[in-house]
Formats: sequence, C-alpha cells, structure tokens
Amino acid sequence: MMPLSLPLSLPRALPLSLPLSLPRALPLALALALALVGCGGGLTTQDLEAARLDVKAKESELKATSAAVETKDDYVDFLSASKGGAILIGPEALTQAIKGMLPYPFEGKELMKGMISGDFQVISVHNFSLLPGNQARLTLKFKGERVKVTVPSQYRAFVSKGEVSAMKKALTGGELDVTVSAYLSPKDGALVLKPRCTDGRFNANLGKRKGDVMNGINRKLMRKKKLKLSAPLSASARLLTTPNHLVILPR
Amino acid sequence: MPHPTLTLAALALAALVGCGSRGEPLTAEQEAEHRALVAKSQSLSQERAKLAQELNASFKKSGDLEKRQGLAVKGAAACNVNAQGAAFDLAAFKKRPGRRAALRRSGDLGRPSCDAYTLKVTE
Repeated sequence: MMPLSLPLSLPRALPLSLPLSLPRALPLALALALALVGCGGGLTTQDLEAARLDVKAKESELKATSAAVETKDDYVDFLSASKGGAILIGPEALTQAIKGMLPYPFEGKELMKGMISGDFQVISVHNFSLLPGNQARLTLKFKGERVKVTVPSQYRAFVSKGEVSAMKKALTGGELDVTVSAYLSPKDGALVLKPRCTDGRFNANLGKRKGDVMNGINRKLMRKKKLKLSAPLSASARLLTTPNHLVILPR
Repeated sequence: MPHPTLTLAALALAALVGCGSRGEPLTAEQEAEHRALVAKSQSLSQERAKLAQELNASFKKSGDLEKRQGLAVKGAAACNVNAQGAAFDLAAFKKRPGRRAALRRSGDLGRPSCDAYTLKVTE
C-alpha cells in the first residue's frame, strides 16, 4: 500500500540523495531557482486558471453547505411536527453494515503493479462517528501477508535497504483513519461517497515516507463511489447527519 | 567550474519547467479578472464559514431534539416511509465483495407511523 507514489516522489528526493559535487550541483540549483521564480514571478495564465478553479470549487462547497442548512429546517419540522417522512440509520447499524462487507481482500498489485505484491485485507472497522455536514469518521484495520516491495532499478540508488525493509514491515498491518463525505447526485440517481484517509498508523515507522504512503492510499484505495439508490431513496431525497443518525428525507 | 553543457541544459530545463509550465503573463484585462476572482474566493470562504457554524450548531440541536422525541435509535428506523429492501451500502471500497446492505423491517418502534429496521448484509 505504501510506496504507491514512489516514482513520483523519488525525483523530489533527488537533490538530497545524489552525491553531487558543488560545481555539478550549481547548474541544477540555478535551474531550480529559475523554475521556482518562473518568468519573473508575475501572474500567469496558470494562476488565472487556478483562481477560476478555486472559485468554482468554493461555489460548489457553498451550495452543498446551503443545501445542508435547508435540509436541517425540514428535519426539525419532521421531528417537532411529524411533517413528512424520514429514514434514520444509527452509527451502530452503519458500523455493522460495513463489518458485513469485511474482510475486504485486495492484492498488492492493485496498489502498485510491479512494485508491491502480497495479499492484503481490510479486517475490521471501529471508532465510527457521524460529523456535521454529511460526514462520517471511522478507523479501518488492515493486514498484509507475503508482502514484497520491489524497487525498480532506476530508483534503487535513491532508496536505502533500510527504507525498503521498513516499507515491507509497515505494509504488514496498521490502522487507517478515514473521513467519508456523502452527498446525493440527482443526475446519477445515486448516493456518492468520497472517502479520504486522514492519518495512518503502520507496523513500522515510515518517517518521511509517510506522506507519500498516505497520498498513495488516497489515490489507489480510497475511491469516490457512486451507489445507485433504490426506492424510496430517490435521488431527490436529502441527506443530513446528526450525532445519532444518518438521516434521509425522501421527497 | 560548472560544466557548460550542464549549465545550458539546466537553463533549458528552467525555461521549460518554470516559464513554460506557469503559462503566459497576464494581460491587464486578465489581471483584473484575477483580482476579482481572488476577492470572490475570499467572500465565498467567509460565507461558507458562517453557514458551517450554523450547521455545526444545528448538528447538536437536532441530536438533542431526537433524544427528546425518543428517536435516538441504535439501529435504524423509518417514519411515514416504507424502507423495506432499500439498499444502503456504505463501504466505499473500490469493488464490492459480492454482498449488499439493505434495510429490513424488524418491528415497531413504539412511536406512531415509525418502524424499527436493521441494516442487513446479504450475499
């Protein structure tokens, strides 16, 4: 699971790991400095595009938060005046449902073909709690057996044997803290789940490679998932979370 | 002394990675658009933070209200809705292990028009 981003992250480590002499390092340092400042440091079309994307993302976040606030009023109407219907699912039931899907097996090559091999399993779930804004937090425990980490020849110079054996040991097991965001997609008639691994504790200390490992887990293991809804959970239903339940208000 | 070929290669790399990847410099019109976007981004963040505060407060209030109404169920419940068989898989894994979670009615909840349910996983 861990060295998923290895080929991407290794070049970043290059200036630190290569035994460069000062005269040889100078042009590279110059190139790096120029690359960092770009063309004089002024704003470019890339900055403009980034600003457009940022506004678009924030507009969509605001829309989702506004919808959640409106849903809250409908739920208060339901609770205080029994207006409309509701489906309520408690954290215990949700935890049991996830447990029913376990153990979840996956092969090392699903994480990084040619670099990781072994038999992996998500074996348990605990610490499930619901958070404001249609989110849930949980911890997944995993284990790996017959784990092998193979570093491609072009990267061998940059990864020590100690790091490889730490990665191998780390992949034999650990815990992942995951936050799941849920929202309804009327267009697809589906409930969309977006999991994100926020922290991890592994069987070995990964040191500076931990960030790479977390990125790899998020890219390869934590996929956005669309679940087709069946009646009465139509896509026009609304979702909200309370400390006690995930609530669906069917329209 | 730095090797001349290496220096040239490094400068070419800088030109490609630095200037090239950051795009063209902005025109006056584009700069104005950028300023407006930055201002809009800040205002959207403020608006969202305000709504998020409201949402956080209502999260707790709704929970308290559920408890007062006797609706803080451990399993699942449905009121004024027939939720029998509604699929609700929350395990966001890449592929499903051939199982599905669906709601099954398990009895009365002791509250008018509300039924108790379990979220049952089947093969």
